[in-house]
Order: sequence, then C-alpha cells, then structure tokens
Amino acid sequence: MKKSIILIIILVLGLAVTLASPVIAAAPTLGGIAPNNGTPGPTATVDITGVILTGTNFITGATILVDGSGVSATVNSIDSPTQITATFHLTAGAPAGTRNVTVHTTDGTSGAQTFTINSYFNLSAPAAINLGVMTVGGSATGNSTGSVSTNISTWSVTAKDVKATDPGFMTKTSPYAKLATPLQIKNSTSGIFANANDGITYSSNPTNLPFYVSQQVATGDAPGAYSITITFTGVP
Amino acid sequence: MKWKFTTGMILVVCLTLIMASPLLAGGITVSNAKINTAVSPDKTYTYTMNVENSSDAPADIGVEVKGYGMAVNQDFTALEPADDTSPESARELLSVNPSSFSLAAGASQGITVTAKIPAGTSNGGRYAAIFIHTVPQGGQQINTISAIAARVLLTISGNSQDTSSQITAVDAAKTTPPQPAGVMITLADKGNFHYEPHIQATLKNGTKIIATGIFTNPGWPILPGYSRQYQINLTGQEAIPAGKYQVDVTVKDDSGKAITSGTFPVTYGVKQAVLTTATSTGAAPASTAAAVTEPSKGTNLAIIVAAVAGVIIVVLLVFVVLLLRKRRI
Repeated sequence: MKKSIILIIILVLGLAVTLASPVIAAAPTLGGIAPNNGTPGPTATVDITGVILTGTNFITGATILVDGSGVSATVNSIDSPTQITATFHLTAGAPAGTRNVTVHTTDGTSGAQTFTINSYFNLSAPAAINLGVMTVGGSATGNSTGSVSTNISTWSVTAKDVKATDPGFMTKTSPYAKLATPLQIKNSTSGIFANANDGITYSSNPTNLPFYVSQQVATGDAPGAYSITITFTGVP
Repeated sequence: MKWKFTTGMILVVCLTLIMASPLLAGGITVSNAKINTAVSPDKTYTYTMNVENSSDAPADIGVEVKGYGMAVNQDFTALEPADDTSPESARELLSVNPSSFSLAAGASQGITVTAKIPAGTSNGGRYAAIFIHTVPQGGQQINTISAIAARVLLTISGNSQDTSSQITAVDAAKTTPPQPAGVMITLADKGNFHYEPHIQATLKNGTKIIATGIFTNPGWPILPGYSRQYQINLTGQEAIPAGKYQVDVTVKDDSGKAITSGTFPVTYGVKQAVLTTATSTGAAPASTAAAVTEPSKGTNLAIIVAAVAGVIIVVLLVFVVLLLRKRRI
C-alpha cells in the first residue's frame, strides 16, 4: 500500500513537470537586427531587404511588430528557429528616431530590440541668377526658387554672402573692383530687402525657398563682369 | 561714342556665355546630420554621415569643420577658425574624411567624422559644425551654394554640467495691435553646457497680476558663452493699458532646474492686446511613446500549467496525510 502511494506521487509530479516544461521554452526571443537602421526617402517608400533578425524559438507564422509610425516589417523567410529574413518598409518622410521591434508567434512575443530611422535633410539651393546687362543708374532684378525636404521638425536655412573680402558686394577681377552698393536679397515678394552680407532666414519651415535679388548700379561703378556667390546653409 | 557707350553700361557677363551656361541648382541630402552624444576624455569616437548628390548634374562636394556659434537673434552661425574662440569649441577635436570629393547625379558618399577627446578634457559641452557644401561652378552673376551644417554637440562624461545663466535684458516687445503684447528677454548662458530654456514671465502692476506668458521648447539650444533673445507673448483677461509695469521672469533648463530669475521694469507706450487663451510660442513638445511589452502567451500558459500542477500536488499530499492518519487509527 505504502509503495503504491509513493508511486502515485512520483507519477503525478512527473506529469506536472512534463506539462509545464515545453510551454516555457516556446516563447520567442529577439537578440539582434542587422542592419538596425535605415534612411527614408522624401517622396516614396524605401524597402530595406535582407534584414536579419536573430533569436530563438522562431516558428512558422512568426510576425514582426514595429511600434511607432513610419515603419513596418514583413517576414520573407524563417530560415531556422534562430533566424528570420525580413523586409523593413520605411514610409516617405518617416520621422527620425528609434522604434521597438518584437517577434510574435503563437507561443508568445519576444522582448524588444530597436530599429533607428535616420534623419535626413535635403537642400536644393535656388538656381543661379543672371541679371543680364546692368545699366548705370538703374537696377536689375531676378529670382529663382530652391527647396527643402526633411524628416525632422526643427531646422532653418540662411542665405548670405560669406566671402571674407567685401562680403555682400558683387565683385570683378582684373582689375579687382566692387559695385558701390551691396546686392539686395529677400525671401518673398512682399519681404524687405536685406544686404547680402547680412543675409536672410527661412524660418517658417517652407518646402520652397523663394529667392529675389536686386542690384543697383551707381554712376562711378567701373565696367566689367561682376559676380557674387550666395551660400544657402541648412541647419538640421 | 563707342567709349561713351561702354562706360555707360556695365557688361556683367557676356551674353553668349549666359545663353550657353545652364543655371544649375546644386542639391545635396545628408543623413544623420547632427551629432549629439556623450564622450569620455582620452577616447576616440567615429560617426558616419552620408551625402547624396540629389541634383541632376555632377557636383563637387567640400567638407569642413567649422565653429558652432550663435547670435542674439540667430540660433546658428558657422564660424571660421579665427572667430571660433570659445573654450567650449569642439572644432579642434574633430576631423573629417574625405574632405572633398565629386559625386555623379544621384550618387552618394559616406563621411567619417572622428572625435578625439584628449585626456584631461574639462567639464561641460563641446560644440562645432560639419559644413558640407557644393562647390560653385561659377560663370553666373548670382551663383548659389547648397550647404548643410551638421551640428556637433558633445557632452564630456563624468563631469558637472553647469547651466548657470543670467537675464541680461527685459524689454517690452515691439508689437502692433492686434498682435499680442510681449516681453523680450535676453538670456546669457554663463555656464559650460547648452540647454533649451523654459521661460515664464508674469506681468504685474504692483501685486496685481496683469498677464502671464510661457516660452518653452524653442527647438534650438543656447550655447555656453552666448546670449539669445526670446519673445514671450502674454496671456491675460483684458487689454493692457499703456504704462509702467514689472515683470517677474523665471528660467529653467531642460532638466526643470531653475537657473535664474528676477523682476524687471517694462513700459508699454500704447495700449496692448493680449492673448486670451494659454499659448506657447515655442514648438510643441515632442510626444514620447513608452514601449509597452505585453506578457507573452507562452508565459501565461506556463503559469496556468504550473498552478494546476501545484493544486494536484497539494490535493495529493492532503490525500496522503489523511491516508496515513487513517492507518494509524
């Protein structure tokens, strides 16, 4: 009788351990993502193919979950219980920053690893402007437009002549001379002209950078071919 | 007559040249164009940026390390070496490779920025800018350059960060009704570290509060050794009559630590409008989403199974105890 009771106890304990053990081991773990970052495009979705996720307990039907906006991922293949090959989809202009990535199976959800959306800043300065032949006593004007695209929220663009000698003035060589009055620049039709060495700022986050110039020619200005270079500096 | 005509006109560019030359707008895209990180003395760090020629023509690109400065009304200025005299400059700690290259249309090039932090580097932050720019092809009257200044903000680890500051001027903002009344506050960072200020202003007439204003999250930091002017729009119940007032100003840094405060006189020459609802003049604070990880299904099942097994064991033990007692009886 005593032996029977002990045998029953051993059998029940063994059954309990057998039931519990395989379920605990089935939840996936995620150890790494390579590559773990990507840069979105300004207008179209960017697909990053061949992303390798390493971990454990990856099984058929596993999915990849990415929190936050601008990124999703699809499983291309479950290569083994420890490796998944995936494609990460970055929507146009996806905000920069890190996202948490987890692997989900019917047995559970892994802990998170991070995937970083890189910031990008695109600046296309307004095209060069030719004023044509400028007449003494008159003024010449011109305009063009540049653009900015980025996935970050805070930035500025300034435009000015940064040369060391006679900044803000159109100059010529052989022999060196400058016009008597500085080039005037502004960033909208209704804006106020500023001297090119003081510069202008585009501060209201436009996507276009309108650029207007005006040059006065004084009586004493020497004949010749004058030019100036305006630097458009974007600061992300 | 010919000479008179020539002197009467300034032939800026040969018209033939004008017609022959395309008016190109150089465009560049830089990824990861900001370095904001902690570093330790006696260590070397590398960072990578990527430059793409986003125009439809080949471009020559230059990369330079410049000083990072600011002005009272400007959040960023690129400084030439002669003007970069701040003790917190990182310009001489940085190098770039390559410093010049050519890119076909649509092509890209990685840039490695190396920061070598000498042993014994003292407290605070270090600041510089990586200046990436197209090289002008010239030949036009008004030439343009596309440049991107990647700011570098290095925090020297293991040392104290001092954001001591001083309010150096408080004036009535020059606004015209119906623009709201405001105060212009000039703030000087006297410490060794950058921060984005949180400024609170309370306009009073004696002890009576007339209007208040808050400025937060400007999006750009104030650097040590520099001053920056901020306009705080005022919110109140009714228009502010012309007259003399006092304004209490409190400034906090990013961590919420109060770093300077004071009471200053301001005078409005004409009656001023006010905002009637709370308005922040700064950028909206970035929302931060905490990652929530749900317990896994596998873990839940394991808990259930373990609980069932535990109950079975307890029942079994009770059964054994009862059986043994019965046998003794």
